[in-house]
Amino acid sequence: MTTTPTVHRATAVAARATELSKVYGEGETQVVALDRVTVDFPQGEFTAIMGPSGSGKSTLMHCVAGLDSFSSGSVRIGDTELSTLKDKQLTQLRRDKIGFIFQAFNLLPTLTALENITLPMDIAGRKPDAAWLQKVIDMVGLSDRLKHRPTELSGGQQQRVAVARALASQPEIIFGDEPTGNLDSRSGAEVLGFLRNSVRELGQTVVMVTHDPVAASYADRVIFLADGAVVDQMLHPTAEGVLDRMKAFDAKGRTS
Amino acid sequence: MFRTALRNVLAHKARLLMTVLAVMLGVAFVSGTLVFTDTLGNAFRNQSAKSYDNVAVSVETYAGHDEKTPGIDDATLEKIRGLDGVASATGRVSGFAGVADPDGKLIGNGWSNTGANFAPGEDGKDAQYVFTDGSGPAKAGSVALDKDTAGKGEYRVGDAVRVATNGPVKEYTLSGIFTTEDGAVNAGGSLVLFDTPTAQKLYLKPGVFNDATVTAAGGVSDQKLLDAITPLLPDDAIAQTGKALADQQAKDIENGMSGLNGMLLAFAGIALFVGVFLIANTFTMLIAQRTRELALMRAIGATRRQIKRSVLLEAAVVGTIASVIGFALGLGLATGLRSAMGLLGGKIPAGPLIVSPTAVVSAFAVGVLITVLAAWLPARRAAKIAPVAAMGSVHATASTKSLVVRNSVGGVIALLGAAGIVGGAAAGGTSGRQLVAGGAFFALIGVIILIPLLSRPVIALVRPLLKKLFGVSGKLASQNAVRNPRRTGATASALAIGLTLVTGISVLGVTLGQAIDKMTTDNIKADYMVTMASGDALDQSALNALAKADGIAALSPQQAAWFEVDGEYQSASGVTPGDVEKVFSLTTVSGSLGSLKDGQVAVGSKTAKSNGWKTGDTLPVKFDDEEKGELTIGALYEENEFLSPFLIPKEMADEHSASSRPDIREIWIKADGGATKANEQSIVDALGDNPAMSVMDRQDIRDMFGGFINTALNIMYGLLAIALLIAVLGVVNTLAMSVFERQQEIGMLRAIGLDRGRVKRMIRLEAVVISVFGAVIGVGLGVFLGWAIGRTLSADIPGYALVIPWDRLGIFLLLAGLVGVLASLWPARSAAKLNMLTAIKTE
Repeated sequence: MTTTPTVHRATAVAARATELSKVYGEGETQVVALDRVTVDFPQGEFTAIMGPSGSGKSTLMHCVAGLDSFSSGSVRIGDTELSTLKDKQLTQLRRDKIGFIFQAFNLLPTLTALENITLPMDIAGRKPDAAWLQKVIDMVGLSDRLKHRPTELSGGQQQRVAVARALASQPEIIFGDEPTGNLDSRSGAEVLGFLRNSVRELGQTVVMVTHDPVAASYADRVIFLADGAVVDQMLHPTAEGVLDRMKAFDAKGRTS
Repeated sequence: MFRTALRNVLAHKARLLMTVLAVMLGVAFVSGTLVFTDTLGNAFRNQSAKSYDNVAVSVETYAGHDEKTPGIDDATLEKIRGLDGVASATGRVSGFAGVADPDGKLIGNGWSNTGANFAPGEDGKDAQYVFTDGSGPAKAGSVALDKDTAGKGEYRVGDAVRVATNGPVKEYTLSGIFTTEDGAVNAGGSLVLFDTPTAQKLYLKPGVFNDATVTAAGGVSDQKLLDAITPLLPDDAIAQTGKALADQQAKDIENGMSGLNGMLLAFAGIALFVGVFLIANTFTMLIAQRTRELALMRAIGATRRQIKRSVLLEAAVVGTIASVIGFALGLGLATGLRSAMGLLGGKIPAGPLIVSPTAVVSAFAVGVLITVLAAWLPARRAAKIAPVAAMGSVHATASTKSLVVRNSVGGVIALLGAAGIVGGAAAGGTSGRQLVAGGAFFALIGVIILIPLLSRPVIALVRPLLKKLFGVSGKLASQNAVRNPRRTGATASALAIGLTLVTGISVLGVTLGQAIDKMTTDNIKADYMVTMASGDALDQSALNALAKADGIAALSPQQAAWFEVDGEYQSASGVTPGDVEKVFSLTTVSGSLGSLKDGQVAVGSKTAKSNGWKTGDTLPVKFDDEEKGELTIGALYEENEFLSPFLIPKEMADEHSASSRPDIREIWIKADGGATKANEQSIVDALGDNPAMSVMDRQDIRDMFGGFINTALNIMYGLLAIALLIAVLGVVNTLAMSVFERQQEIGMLRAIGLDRGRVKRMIRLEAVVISVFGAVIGVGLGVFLGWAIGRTLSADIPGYALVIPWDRLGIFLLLAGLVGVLASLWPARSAAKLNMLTAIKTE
């Protein structure tokens, strides 16, 4: 690991960032959040993005997911180049091709669980695929909770609704921003299990930002970010392996 | 604590903006009203004081044309002049005089057109008038005009001026143009000066005056002069010192002003009442946001009282700031009103802006008190926050306390109110009206309390429609609108109050207008009605002239007459036999109206019934001229709104009049071929193109009786607009709060694909839903109230039938929707501009 690795594999790519940079401010106060990051997210893979606070992991996800603008470089979701899209087109892209799971405030309190799950299709004005919807709902085990409102659900159940929502519209890629951050370990394990199953069984592509090595161990691959650049990656990660790697970065950070 | 309060105010500037605006508008309304009426009153008082400055004693009589009220003759004046200490005694005679502009139209508006005599003293000058051009009328055939009137008619000295008095119109030569301190002239009226003999001939009779003004030589007190003069005057004369007269006028002005004052303040009160909801909403929201902060203060030792006081103090600071700005705005409003009135033709004497201490104190008291009162409940709620709330993780949501108690109380009050309204409507009359008013108050309060409860089912009703029309935005908007029923309720209440009043007066106004319209069409067959613009009686010459005019099928005066029957005064209408039934819709119950020709009398059937009279009966009468006689009832007819309950032939009215002039109130004309331009011209020509007479067709008649209703409605709409404006601020406020509270949610929606346009639409629809909901409640309640008040009036109004002005109600609802759209402009924009990333990041 002496040089910054670029990640390339032969399979089809769901999302790709090339030479992606994000700079805040100008001159003296300039802060580089992302420094020419190049990374691929292959189809049917569960990728975790890790890194210490301020490493740029959330920024990377936001830029790739079309939530934030970037200063230079390119981002592609499937065949679509994001840098040239206007807000309206970006919104449409997020609606049709991307699923989201956030740490909190995932659901609309006024809607039932089912209405929350179908919300992206509602927005798009599409009818959900009934068979697929049933499959997703069965998978996350919410069949008997569909009429409930978010306030009547536990945190874990709420996050399962969020997972179902992300899956229901069959997006090309799902982004999770610390999806287990607010959950206890059991509920967190459940949610991560669903995400992994969706990749294994349904062929979904998932990218997740996390700071939890255990969560990262559910992924097929972990990408490590530090100071706005990809510094390492790990295939078939284990919690211990990830933790060791993180400790190594910390030690390096302290010694350098 | 004060510092904390102040800091909080400064920290929440933006969120307090709407509160400040609402209080400011209310205070501006109050202070504007007070300053305006003070200023106006002061100007008029100064005016009247000035016009009686030189007058030591003023004498008034009600001299008419008969012997009972002789007036003041030259001999009496001479006697007064002979008294010690009298410098001069001037006789005054006055009446109506209208001036035609070069197009033949009357300058001014009838009741403010005066004519008087020019009474020069030995120096040839009349102290009351200062001539800017020419001189006073010295001989018959010349007149002088006040400067404004001359200006409006573009008349110069030497020009011929057509002047109409109650007789035929005549042409005079303009001898001079003057200014005067006369209050009526300064209030925009016109004044024509004649030489004294002409004026006496026109208004009274040669050698007699109605009024006299006496000036004193140095050193004699006014009171002493008054005592000396009084014995010389006829019995009906009223003499008082100039000062007493000025004081009395000042008092009259005060009374007039206090009416105006009261009405304006009532509307200001409504506006402030509406503002209360907005203020309460704001503080509830601020406190909900600060729950942790307040809990922390409790945890480190602040008492409940201190918390409550700090919130109230915050309200007081806001109220004071708003009052200062509002007061300044009020001063501007008062100045603006004065010039606006000037532009509308109502001339107001010049004078300084009067800012009385009362105005200042009440404006501030109102502003601060309203704000503090409105913040009272939220402050109590703040005091109840438990210290442990400081340890809570997520910021606490607003309490969703059960509405059960609230709904029960509201239900009872609303029912009581409704019962009062229905009961009052059933009872009718003045007492019924009072009951309705009381009931209306309770019903309004009850509905305001119940609005949160009503909001869910009512808004749920429109949800499918919104969903169908606007998709996901509509669905979310309708759900968001009922998310916080209390807040939605308070916001909608503000609009509901305004619209209840607007709708109530609309229903009532339109219903009354329609009734008057119907009354006109039902009772009149005539195509034209002729009256004096001044409201005085028409001259006999007008009737004579019309009798000879072309194109007239039937013609009857309505001449006022009186006689006593069995010691009871009865009013009668002198009409032309044979023609009267052609110009009025008269239904004969028994006998024949033809009997009028034979000197018999026709009596209204209701009057006859209550007195037990029937056709053929003879009534012993004492006429106005004291002569006694007997009248035979020749016919009974159904009462007509435009006629007295007794009809007598005009000749009889003339013969027994106590006055030398017949009291012709109107002349009614049926024209050959109906109302045509030619017929109207023929009438106008016959009347000598007299600017002082108005010739009205049926539409004009309807407008004359019903027109004031429209004017009154428009004034009320204007005054209620400020309450509605504050309600709109309330909608803005609520939406801004909602958007602020739901930042994360909106961020999430944007992230998962709701575009900016639809975020905006969602907010807009929420505003429209809340506004229209408030409007529907208000319109419903208003119709109910309008119906109830109408019922209580129905007994007094023949042909009363409730008219619901659907078109207007539709416009109100549309406007409410528009209000929602406008109110949401800013909140919707800020929602759409929201930064998704900051929104979805957790604290």
